[in-house]
Formats: sequence, C-alpha cells, structure tokens
Amino acid sequence: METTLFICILFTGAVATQSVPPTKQGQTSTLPHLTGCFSRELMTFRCQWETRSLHNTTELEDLRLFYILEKDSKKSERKWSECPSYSSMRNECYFNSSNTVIWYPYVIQLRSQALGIVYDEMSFNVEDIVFPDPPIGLNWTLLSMGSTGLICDVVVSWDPPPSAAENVKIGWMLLVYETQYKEKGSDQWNSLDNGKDTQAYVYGLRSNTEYEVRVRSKMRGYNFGVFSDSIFILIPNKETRIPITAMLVFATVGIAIILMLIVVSRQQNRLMVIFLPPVPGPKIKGIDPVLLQKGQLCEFTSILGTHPGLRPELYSNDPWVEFIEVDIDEPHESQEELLIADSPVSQSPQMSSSFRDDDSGRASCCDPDLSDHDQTDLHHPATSSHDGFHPLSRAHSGSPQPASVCPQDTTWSNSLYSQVSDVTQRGEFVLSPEEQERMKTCHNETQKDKDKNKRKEIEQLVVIPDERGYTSELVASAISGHNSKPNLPKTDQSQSQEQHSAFKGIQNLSAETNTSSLSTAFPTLEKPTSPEYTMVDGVDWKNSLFLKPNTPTTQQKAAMKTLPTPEGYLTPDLLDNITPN
Amino acid sequence: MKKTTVLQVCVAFVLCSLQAVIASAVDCPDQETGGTSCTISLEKLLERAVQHAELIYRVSEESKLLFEEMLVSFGGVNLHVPSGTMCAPKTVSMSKSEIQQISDKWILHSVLILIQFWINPLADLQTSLESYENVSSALLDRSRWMSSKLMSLEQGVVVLVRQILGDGGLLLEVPEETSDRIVSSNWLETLRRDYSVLYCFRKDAHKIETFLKLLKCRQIDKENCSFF
Repeated sequence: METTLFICILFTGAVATQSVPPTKQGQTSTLPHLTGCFSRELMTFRCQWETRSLHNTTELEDLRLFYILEKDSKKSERKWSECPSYSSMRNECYFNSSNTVIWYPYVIQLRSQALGIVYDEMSFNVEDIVFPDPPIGLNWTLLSMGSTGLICDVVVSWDPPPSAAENVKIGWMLLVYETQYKEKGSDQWNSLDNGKDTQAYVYGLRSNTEYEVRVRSKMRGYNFGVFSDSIFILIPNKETRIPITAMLVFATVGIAIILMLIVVSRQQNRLMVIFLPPVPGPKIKGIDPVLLQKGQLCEFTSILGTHPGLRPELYSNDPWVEFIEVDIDEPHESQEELLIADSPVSQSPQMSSSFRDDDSGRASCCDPDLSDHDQTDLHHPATSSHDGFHPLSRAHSGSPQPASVCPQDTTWSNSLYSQVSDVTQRGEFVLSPEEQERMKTCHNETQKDKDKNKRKEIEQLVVIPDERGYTSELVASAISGHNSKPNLPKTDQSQSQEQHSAFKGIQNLSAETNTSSLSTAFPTLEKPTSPEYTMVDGVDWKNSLFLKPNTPTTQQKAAMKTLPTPEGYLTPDLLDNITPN
Repeated sequence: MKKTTVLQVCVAFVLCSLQAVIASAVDCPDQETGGTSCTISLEKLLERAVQHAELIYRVSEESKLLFEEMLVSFGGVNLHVPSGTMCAPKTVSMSKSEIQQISDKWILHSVLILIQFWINPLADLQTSLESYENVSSALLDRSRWMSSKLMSLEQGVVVLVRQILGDGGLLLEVPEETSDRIVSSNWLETLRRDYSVLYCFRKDAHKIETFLKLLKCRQIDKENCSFF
C-alpha cells in the first residue's frame, strides 16, 4: 500500500510539474528517476520518468527502462525485458495490452545504457496503479420540486470514461463512482457514494442557488481517478414568492380594515346603536305628546285611565288595603321587596328580570304579569310575594272593573284615590271613606289627595326601582310640578327625562297651567282640608313611613333632584325633594 | 364417475406441476439426476457465481481495512507489502488480451484453483484472529463469512465446470502445499502472516471476480464480449 501511495504522489507530482520548465537547479534529485506508472483501464499502463534537464536529449536517449515479471520464486532466471515502446519524448514507456499482466508484480528499473547503472527501481501490481479516467457527459435533470418550491431533487447522470467503457461493459473491470456537490462559494464538498450506477440522486437542493457537481470513478478497492469537469446546477424559482407576498398584503389590509371599523364604530353612534341597541325606555301606549301641549287633558286622562296600571280596580278600597301590605321581614335591598310575602304562587326572582319590557314600553308592564304569573291567589290579602306590579296586578285582577274613559269614569274616581287617614304600625294605610272623593270629570280637584295617593303610588312604585312603570315619573312630576310650578328646575328634570316625552309634557303642562294642569290629568280628587292629611316624609328601611307634621305651609321643594334612575323613579330618600303638601 | 375422474386428473396435474415447480427451484449440484428438471440454467448459475465473487471481494476489502485499523491500535505496525507465497501467482500469468483469447476451460480451471487454494488459509486466519485481544467482532464475522461463502462458491464453480465443460472437464490440479503455515510464536510474525493472508486474498478475490465476469459475458452475450 505504501508503494501505491508513493506512486500516486509521484504521479501527481509529475503531472503538476510537467508544465514547470525544469530550469531549476535546486531539484531534490539530480539523477533521473521514475515519476510514476499508472494505468487507466487495467489493460495498459505507462511509466514515466524525468531527468534533471529535459533539453539534453542525449541523456534521455541514454535512459532505458527494464522490467521483469516475478514469476514464482525463480529469481535466478531473471530476464529483464526492455520497454516495448518508448514515447516520442523518451520519458515515458507504454505497455500495451499484450504486455500487461494483471495480478502480477512488476519490477521496473530505470537504467542508463551507457553507464549500466540503475537509477531507479520500483515494483507494483498493475491493478494497484489503476487510476480511471473521469466520467464524461455530465448532465442533470430536475427530479421533483417541493410544494413550496424551495427544495428540489436532481438527478445527475454521466457516462463511463471512454477508455474504460469497453472493459466495464464486458465485465473486465468494475467502476464505482463518487459524486461531489457543493454550493458555489462554499468550500465544503458533499460526497455521495453511489456505487456502480452511472447516475446520482441529489436530494435537498435549494432553488435559486447555484451548485457545482463533479464525479470521479475508481475501481472498487483501488484508487480514485481524477475528478471530472464540474457542471453547475441552478434551479430557478419564480412562483413561490408571489403567494407569500400576496398573503402578507392581504393580511395587513384585512387588519387595517378591521382597525378602521373599530375606530369608526366607536366614534359613530349610529354604529354603536347597531351593535348595542339602547335599552328602550317605557313609553305610554297611545300617548301623544302633542296632546299634552295642546291641553287636551281629557284624552290624556282617558289614555291614562285605560292603562291597566292605573285602572280604577287597582285603587278600590279593599284591594287597596290589601295591596298596602308591607313585609317587614325583608326590609333590605331593593325597595321593590316592600311587598314581599309568602306566596305559593310563582316567586319571581328579580323584578327586573321578570318584567323585562321588550315591546319598547308600549304595552303595559302588567300585561305579561297578568298572563304569566300568578293568576291564582291574587286575592290573598296579606300575602304578596311579588314585587312591583304583582300586587298591583293582583289588586287589579282581584277586582276587575272596567276602565272608564275620562269623561265618564265614575268608577275611576271611585276607587282610584282615597285619603289616607292613618298609618298603622305595620305600615298599613288606613284610608278614609271614599265618598269624599269622587272623581269629577276632568276637573281640577284637590291636589293633595292626589298627591298622597300618588305618593303612595310612588312609594310603591319606588319600591320597584327597576320597574318600567311610567306612572312614577308622572306622579312625581305631577306632584312636583303641581305644587311648585315656578320652582321646577327644568334643567334637572330635563336631564333625567330625556326619553320620556310624556313627562316633559307634564312639566310643560304644569308650567303652563298653574292650577289645573296636572290635576285635570288625573282623576280629580277632593282635596280634603289640610289638617286631615299628613305628609309622608319618607320610608325607612323597615318600610315604615315617616310622616311629617301637618304643616300646610311647608315649603315646597320644587327642585327635583336628578333622579338616580334614568326613568326618573323616586327613591324614598328623594321624597323630600318632592314638593310636599 | 365423471366427476371423480376429472378430480383425479386435476389432482394429478396439480401434483405434477408442483413437483415440477419445486424441482426447478432445487439446486442439484452433485447428483446426476435424470432429466433437465433438476438443473439450474447456466445464466442463473453464472449470475450467482458472479454475485458470490463480488461479495467475497467486497468483504475481503473491508476485512483488510479493518485489520489495518487494528494494526493502528497496536501502535502503527508498519507492514510493507507482504512477500511470500501467499501473494505468489497461482496460475500462469497472462495479459488481458491473452486471457480474453483463452478458452473457457482455462478460466474455469484458474478460478477453481484459486478458490481451492484459499480455503485453508482462510480457516487458519479465522483461528488466528480469534486469539487476538482487541480484535473487532466485525472482522471476525467477516472472515467467518468469507470462509463459508468461498466454499459455496467452490461448489458453484464445480457445477459450472460440469455444465460448461461436461463431465470430463474437471481436472483438479492439486496446488502445491504452501509452506507458510509456520506456527510462529513471535507475535509480530503472526501479525504479518495474517495481514499477508488478507492482503493477498483480496487480490485473488478480485481476480476470481474478474474471471467469472468475463466468463459470464462470454457465455451469455457472445457477440459483445468476444475479442477474438
């Protein structure tokens, strides 16, 4: 093996130094020496030597090459043969196929004929000095391309070297190949050992990158030949970038549009309205604000009267009394639970939830209650577990009385209002008999009764802060507006009464018609003498009423404070603000 | 009645075909069974022989490299090209052109002589390798494999000789007894001897492979391979 390596080195050195003019005097060896022997196809081989100066042809002429084949161990019969054919330059000896014996050791000697001395000697086997020629005809084809178009596979194919092609075909010699590839600009070669095939599969090449590929051949178990000329592979890639950029552009445009929509929607109320519709406020069915302005109170009254919330049946004596049950057990929380009592009938959980008004306030809030909730047990006097309008509805259903139109409603006047004569400890109101209180047709009646009743109503309705009942506002406004007309701060009211045109109308009404505006809107009541009435000052947490001392000249607190609830319901603590009387 | 006869015929036919199928797959190397149903075709035989020779050559190459690695672990023992009877040519030297012109008989003989020469040295090598301390199991497996495959190749070549040259073509020339089988106590000598066995066997394996390939080409594809 060492001789083989030595021969290789010599050969490469010979090849490298052939172009260099041998003018250097400082060579390593001044004597002629063998540079190497090599074979291409295991059929012929040649040996080369060099001398100090190639110009001296006489010296070259003097050199002779002799060889001998070691046969067996008969070294006594050493018959040296001379080189069969010398090259023209006399520095190479060519052994043709008939003179080449494979698998036999050769001994080569370089002699000088004149001097008869041996300059150099080497021994080898021919198969050890085989350096096949490089393959020819390299070309590549695209095998496949990845889905993204970035990675692709390539097949490189070539032909066996022409000098050895014949031998390979007949099986005389077996050539194996090695493929090397690298990126242009890189120094690292990647090797593929693919055996006898004259093609190589190169996987994982990147597109738009230039690669350099070269192939070399060798006999299996022996030496590699020189590399072939490199070929360059460049796979263009056009389409991949377009979808990526399009996707990026599309994504950014989409995000921008979404942001714009968000910004615009915040600023535009209309869009907000579309996305978040406002909670509809209560509206009186059939009430035309124009009526209020024009002073057509009769129709107004009739409309109000037909409202089930204000039906006379509710205000009949008995149910009224029943109605004013106060449950002391649960005084806390919302005041709507003022009238909570045990009832086997349905327990509405929360006032607000059960009285969801989804018809924009047009219909009565009581109607759903009347239909859904307790139809039974409504006459139960002391038991009212329902909040808000339940009692009202009970009372209402308990004593059904036809709602009468304004001009005729005697029944209206009969049971709607009554005078509170006393308040029991339990919180029950004791009402005075009602014959004093006859409703007169659309006439101004005593306001105080009305106020009292309205206050109770307010309280009861205040009990239901979330109730969508409209009457409380009207009641409050009626009370306040009636009692202190010039002192009404319209600003306050207007703040809280945006959505209630009826209220505004009432206010205007009160402002305009001093005396009889509001009183005529409601069934008139006989106004009892002042000493007979006491003002409810407030409702404490126990649902007991605070009554004010009888001061007829109590200053009216005209100012209605801004109501906490948007609908303008009064809480007990704000009752002070209501103009007492 | 008809049904039973038909069934019998079918069964007989099936059995006969099965026998024929099975018989054709069986290799009958050393038996002179009558009929052509018990022989393998020449092409398949040559193909198998060539495959054997190729594999043996490859494994011998690997074994040599493994042995050299083992020598490196021993401290870089420098083993020059071994000289001795191991690498001595066993047959008459010929150039390629001469070989191409030589007859098939000569090729087969040469191959057979070579194979028979190497059976014993490989067996000795196996025992010698097992005595080493840090021999790799790969090397042991390979040498064992080579010994077995070489014997099977010998059997195949014998069959080839019989098929190509006929019964009378087998003239076994017993090779000379090699005198290299010296049991040396010197450890270095043992190493050198084992290395020469591997080195020279590799050369001869290459020779055997080349000869068989040439023979195959000649026998199968006579137009392209003959260089007369």
